[in-house]
Amino acid sequence: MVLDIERDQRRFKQIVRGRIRENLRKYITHGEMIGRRGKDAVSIPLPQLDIPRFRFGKNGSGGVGQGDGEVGDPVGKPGDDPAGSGGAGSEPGSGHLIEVEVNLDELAEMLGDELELPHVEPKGTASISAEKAKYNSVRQTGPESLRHFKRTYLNALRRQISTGNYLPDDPRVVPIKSDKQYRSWNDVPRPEVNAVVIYLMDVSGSMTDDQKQIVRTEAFWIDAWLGKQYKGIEKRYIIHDAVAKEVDEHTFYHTRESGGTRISSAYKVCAQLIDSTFPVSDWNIYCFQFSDGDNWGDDNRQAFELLNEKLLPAANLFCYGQVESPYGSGDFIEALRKQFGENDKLALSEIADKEGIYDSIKLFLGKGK
Amino acid sequence: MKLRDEFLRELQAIVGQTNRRVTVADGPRILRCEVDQGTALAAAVYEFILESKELAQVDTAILQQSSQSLCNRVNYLLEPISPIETDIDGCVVQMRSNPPQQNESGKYYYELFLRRGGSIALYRYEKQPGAIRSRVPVTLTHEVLGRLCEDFNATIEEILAS
Amino acid sequence: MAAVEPGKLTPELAAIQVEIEGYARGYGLDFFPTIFELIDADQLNEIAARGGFPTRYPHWRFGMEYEQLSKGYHYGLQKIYEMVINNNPCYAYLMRSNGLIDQKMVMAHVYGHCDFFKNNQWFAHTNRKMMDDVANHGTRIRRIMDVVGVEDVENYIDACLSLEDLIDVHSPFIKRRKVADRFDFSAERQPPGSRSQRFDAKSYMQPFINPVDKLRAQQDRLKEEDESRPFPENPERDVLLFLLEHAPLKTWQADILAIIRDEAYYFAPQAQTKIMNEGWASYWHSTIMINQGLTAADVVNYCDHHSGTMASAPTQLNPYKVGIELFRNIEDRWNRGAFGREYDDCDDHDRRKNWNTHAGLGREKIFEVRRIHNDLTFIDEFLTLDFVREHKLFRFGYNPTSEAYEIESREFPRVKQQLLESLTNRGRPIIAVVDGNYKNRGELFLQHQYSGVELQLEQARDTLENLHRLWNRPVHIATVLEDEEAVISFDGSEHQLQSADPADDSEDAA
Repeated sequence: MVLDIERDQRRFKQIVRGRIRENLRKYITHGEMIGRRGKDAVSIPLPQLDIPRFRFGKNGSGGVGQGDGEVGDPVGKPGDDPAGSGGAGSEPGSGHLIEVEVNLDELAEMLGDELELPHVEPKGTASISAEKAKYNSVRQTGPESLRHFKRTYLNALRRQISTGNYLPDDPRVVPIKSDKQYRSWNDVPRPEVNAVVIYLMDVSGSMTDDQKQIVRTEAFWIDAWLGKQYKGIEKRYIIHDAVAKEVDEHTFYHTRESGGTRISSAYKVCAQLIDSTFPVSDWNIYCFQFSDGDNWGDDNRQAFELLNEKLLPAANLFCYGQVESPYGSGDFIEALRKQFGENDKLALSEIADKEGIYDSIKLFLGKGK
Repeated sequence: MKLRDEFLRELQAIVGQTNRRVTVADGPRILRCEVDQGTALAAAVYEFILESKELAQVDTAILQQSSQSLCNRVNYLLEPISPIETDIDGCVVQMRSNPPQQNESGKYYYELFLRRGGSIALYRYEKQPGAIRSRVPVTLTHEVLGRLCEDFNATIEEILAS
Repeated sequence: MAAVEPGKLTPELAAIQVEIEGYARGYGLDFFPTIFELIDADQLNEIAARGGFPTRYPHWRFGMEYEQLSKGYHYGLQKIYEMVINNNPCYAYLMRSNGLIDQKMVMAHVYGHCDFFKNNQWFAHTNRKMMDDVANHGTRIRRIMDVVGVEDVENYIDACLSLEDLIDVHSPFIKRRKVADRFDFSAERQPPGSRSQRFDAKSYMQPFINPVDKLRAQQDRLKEEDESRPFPENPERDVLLFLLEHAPLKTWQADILAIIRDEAYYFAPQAQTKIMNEGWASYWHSTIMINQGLTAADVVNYCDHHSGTMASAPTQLNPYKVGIELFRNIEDRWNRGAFGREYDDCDDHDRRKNWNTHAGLGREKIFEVRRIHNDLTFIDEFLTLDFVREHKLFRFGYNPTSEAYEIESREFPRVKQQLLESLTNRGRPIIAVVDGNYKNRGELFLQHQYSGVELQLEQARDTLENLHRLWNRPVHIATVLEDEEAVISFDGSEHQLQSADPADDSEDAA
């Protein structure tokens, strides 16, 4: 049977990917796919790909059904089209959604294309030999220069014996096209490069759920992107108000404290974590810090000291995203800018609202570090 | 009440003037008010602080408690105020308009601090879209300023009593 | 059918086929040779996704269908019981994982369909070598894709599919006009003004025999006639044919449009006879199974499965069920002689109910019905008040206030009216080309024959965009929106919506 349904499926998926790409900005900003995350994939709701036709609208349409019920009783739920007789108005509208599974790596790739992100260059010597091709497999097609002599003749011999064309008295083995075997290569997985992402977030009283949602959305995309750059990336989470502690991912997004804002506390915990667990020589370290920037006045000096002496030297990249709270942004970002100027390892971004996520991600990951 | 009466008298004295500091004292309690512009009925105030050494040794828990009752008292600023953050190390409670007031030109809110040491302070902030937030003068009637004076004073009494 | 490698039946199933086929013939069913193939659920889904034709042309929507079918199957939400292809020979697919009872039932059901395909007059003009032709279509489209590029071709197919409903389902039976051959370049189709009315004459006699001013006047008159002659002369419901003949299509585009049109005509009768066809097949599978197909042990299983196919969802009208019940109802009435004037005039409920002249014409009648009717005429003629009551049919409609569909009525005339409306033109709006040279600017003007239900505006706009891709000049459709006459237009870049103002028309005519 000429059933190349896979080809049609591929085309369908390709078109679906195209739709996602077109709407990627919306998906980046709205974070709706985070709740639909599986282990390696997310499922994205998309409007059904529909071929438009001249068809009847809902207005004034109806159908014939069967069963009990009084006049005025609802048939099915609102929005549901009763299948009816397949007639007027019962054709499904264009409001239907389909769920499309997209693998996280693929999503990261789309993100990279959309934001024109440079690929990360891992630091350290381990990265130099990445992606080396090794000739360690065999295929049925290939250039003659790579023909695997022994295997080809072995195949030919097998064929001749099984078809009765091999004469022990006249042991000639003539390979035909289908016998030929060629050496081929596999990309040897790049040597493991260790990477850790450390998220730091201000959970003090002035940070509301809206801001945390923004952080969450942004972190999702950062994870997706860095996860594609490094296999098996580690993630750590630190929350702080006036004091800081390391927590798990769930706690990270679901904690609200009433303490004051002392950013230095988080920097201190972060520095300790790096010292104890992620030696700089072995790890690519990424720090992403989010706060509304309302640091309590006298804390800036201590924070800058830690940043300058401990964190910036250790990290590939230190990103600070200042998420605007209902009270506006504090002046931490300005103070950082004044103190550190154009530091190559430091990326500063102000995120006014959900729409700001897009540019913020672009700024952070656009550094290519 | 001596502090309030003196303060109101001082306000009358700077009617028509700009950029003045008004300071009055009653024993350890010192009221400092930075006035951007004074008029017969009201004053545009940049900073309003009642300081007192009596708060030198207060416990944070007591500050938190008193900040709540201060917020309840100060209910005439047309914006509900509530404690937002407490810094235990610095022993300070921060209170703000909650939620902040919002109109087309931006967001506005009051910020109050109750500090060990100590002081009670009031400021006004403005945040325009796309701009950094800034401290702005707020125009309050002499009557409201008088009440603030009374209520800050009452809060200190409350702290000392507990 | 070299392309289809039959999944051969097991000897056991092959024996069952012989047995069931024998019963079917015994009842007078008459069908093309029928070939069963035994395939996996997955393959069945693949074939179903392609509308029953494994070799159909490549297109993304089949991939989408397949995903949905296979998801539905894996989650246990749906299962395709049977699939039969109208072809000579008939092809039918059996799912490998089904039990023997199911297979017997499906076979009996299939013979019902095969008989219907062969004998129902609405199928009389369908292509009985469609398996081959669809494979051929597939090859042609693949070849075009190789040359033109997959994406362009698929996009173009999308545009054609958008219009595939715009055919004239009655045209195979009625000659509405002379067949126009688009490769016919005879004088009649020459552009206006080129027709010559000169008489042959020697050159020196020309001014006398063919006076210049007279000739010019005559030519002007002819030109006027040409311009005032409507194009098309009568509204053309076969919009696809009109496009094939008059749209500026490249060869490959015309080829694909012709394929889409062929397939649309092939599938149309199935949509026109859904209730009857399923009813007929169900009637026969239940008749055969109950009388011959079952051993005692099978009966329990069968009842279970039969009710599975027949069960109506609470509010859904199941074509299988309505169809089979109507056929049974007709058989019963004609057996009792409960038809004709005397019966119709009788008002006494009990007398009608117990009416029996022992006419015994039931079987004969249903065979006749399956020959000459389609769903529309079937319902019109045989849906009775008694039937609607007995089977609890109701009419539902959309209530914008509650944003839900609600039961509107159980009155017989209203229920019947709704059912007939939804069956007219297969439940699709009736649309025809009324002007192929609108405003004398080569614009295409369609007319929706409004019958109370409005078009969905968004979809109509998107469809017009697709129509424009084929016509290449502005396109319009006249319809009714919010109770007012309206014209929806697309000129290649912008959409327009105008209420049809009669003043405009008179201006144009002037």
